[in-house]
Amino acid sequence: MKISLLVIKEIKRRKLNFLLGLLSVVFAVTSITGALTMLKVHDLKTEKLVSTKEKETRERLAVLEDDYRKITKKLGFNLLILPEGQNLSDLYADDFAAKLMPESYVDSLANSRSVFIRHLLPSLQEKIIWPEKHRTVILTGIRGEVPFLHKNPKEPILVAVPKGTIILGYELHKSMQINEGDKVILKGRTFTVRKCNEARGNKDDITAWIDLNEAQEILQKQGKINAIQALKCHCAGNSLAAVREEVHSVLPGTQVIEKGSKVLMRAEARDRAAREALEAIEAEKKHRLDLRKEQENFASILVPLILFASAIWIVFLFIGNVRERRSEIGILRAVGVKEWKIMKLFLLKAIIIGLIGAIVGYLIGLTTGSIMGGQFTLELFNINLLLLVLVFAPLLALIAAYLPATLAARQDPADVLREE
Amino acid sequence: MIQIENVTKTYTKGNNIVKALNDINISVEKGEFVVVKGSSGCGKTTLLLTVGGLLHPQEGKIFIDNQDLYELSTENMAKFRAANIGFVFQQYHLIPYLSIIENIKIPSLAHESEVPDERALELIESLGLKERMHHTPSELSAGEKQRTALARALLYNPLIILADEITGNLDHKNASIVLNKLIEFSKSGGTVLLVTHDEKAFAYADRIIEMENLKLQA
Repeated sequence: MKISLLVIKEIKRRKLNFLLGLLSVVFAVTSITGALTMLKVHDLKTEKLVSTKEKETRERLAVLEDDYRKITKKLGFNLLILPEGQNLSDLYADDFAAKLMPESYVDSLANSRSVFIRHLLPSLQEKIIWPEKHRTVILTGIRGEVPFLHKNPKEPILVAVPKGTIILGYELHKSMQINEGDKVILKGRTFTVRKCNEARGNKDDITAWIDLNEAQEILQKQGKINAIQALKCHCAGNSLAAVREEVHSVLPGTQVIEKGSKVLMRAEARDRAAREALEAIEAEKKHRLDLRKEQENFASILVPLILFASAIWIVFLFIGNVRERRSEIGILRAVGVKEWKIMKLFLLKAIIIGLIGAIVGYLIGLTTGSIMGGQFTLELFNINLLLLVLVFAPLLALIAAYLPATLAARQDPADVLREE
Repeated sequence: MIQIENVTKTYTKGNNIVKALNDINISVEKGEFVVVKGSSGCGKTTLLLTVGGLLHPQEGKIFIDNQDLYELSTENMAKFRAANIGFVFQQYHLIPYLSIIENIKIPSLAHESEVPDERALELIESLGLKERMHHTPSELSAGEKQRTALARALLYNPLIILADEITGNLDHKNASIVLNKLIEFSKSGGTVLLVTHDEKAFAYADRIIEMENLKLQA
């Protein structure tokens, strides 16, 4: 006869005692599994939520990036490349650069394999007195756009002013009542008025544009220019530094300044939007983490209490079982069954209760945790947790049953046999 | 076979010391059927449990087959009991959730090897329990329960049977079956020490010892 047969037959006989013990273990395992499943559900939800938000943000930012790229592509950077040593205070005060640089600079830039710069407009500009008209005028010599050799020629952004012609700003032609097609004399040279500009409300209104070579001759600055405008440069986000670096690699010593800050402002706005979106995600993560900590704290108090209560419950159930089986234990001791075998009777029962309780408790805990967490997915099935409770639950039952089992083993058989 | 020398057993109940056995001396030979008779509370059961190694006496010695019983460790005592002593009690002490055959085989839990089924079946048959072998104790009569308890005690052919009021709850027929089985056992060389106040048993004894005033009187 095997001890296991006695254990199984006793369980069948005293079903209520067994079921109450089982219930206790199921309750303990359910509380652990349920708490961990809820935390897992929380983690999965957080992961999903953050992942969705990150995806949405990435998509929104991509759209934003594309929008800005398009916007800034249209706007482009308008850069002003100035001669070495040009004092910027003077530039802003006089509206033109006093320093000069060789006209060949623009060709060097045009022949470079520039990535960012698109349209190059060299100019020579100087504020002079128009002697024939007794007027202050900004004389600007331009030669039109200098094409990039490595890029497909496109329609020039600004056409040259043909030799012998002049374009006049609004204030000039208005005050002097000059019309297109009229002849004017500037520093002894005759020019045909090619165009009379509309009012622009800036220094262009007192500017006269002529061919660059003619301007150089009038101003006696042959082969010199004092500015190169690089218009509609490809936007590289807010990386004006990259554009500068590119220009400096071709024209060392020159200064590159941005005309107008819309592009940079918009790039900054986009960066701020991205930053705020990321901060919102971080805030959401933190909120979810705080919530998880609250759940963890709650579980860390509740679960040990449940385990303790379950263990105590098992102790009392087994003590009751030992008392109920005094006669049985007495006769077993009388026929010579050793103490450890008597203990085995109870401990084996505890292990069976623990194993069945672990499986049932795990399934109930998994289901309850899923329902309470509001999510059921196969990801919640945790084989490691199942293995853990399969070890833990029988261990809990064993520890709880140990004292009653010891009491049973040490019971004096003579006491029982004499009583009856 | 059984040598009881100057055995005294006392119990403590609160502040009082109660004497259950007072300087008992008795010798029972191998194959002898001895009845110890006496009124209730005279210490018969205490004597039986002391001889069975279940109650340590304060004084005196008990030898079974020349082995000083209380010199043995708890572990060895259990082993010795399993090999040499069979108990039968008035209240049967059958395990309620086991069948009759399983109850009879209970002593095998105390042995390294299980007794062959033939031995259990032989006892079942000889004690008229064949029809009941798969029943549980609650389904049996008092006589059948006591026969089962006797079969359990005889399973491993012990040297001695210690029986306590085993016919107290039985009718004449069942008492005869049980007592005849004990006679059969003693005739085959086994020793029987039966404590009882049931007169039915006296006729079966080789020797009757009366227990009065905590002492045995031949």
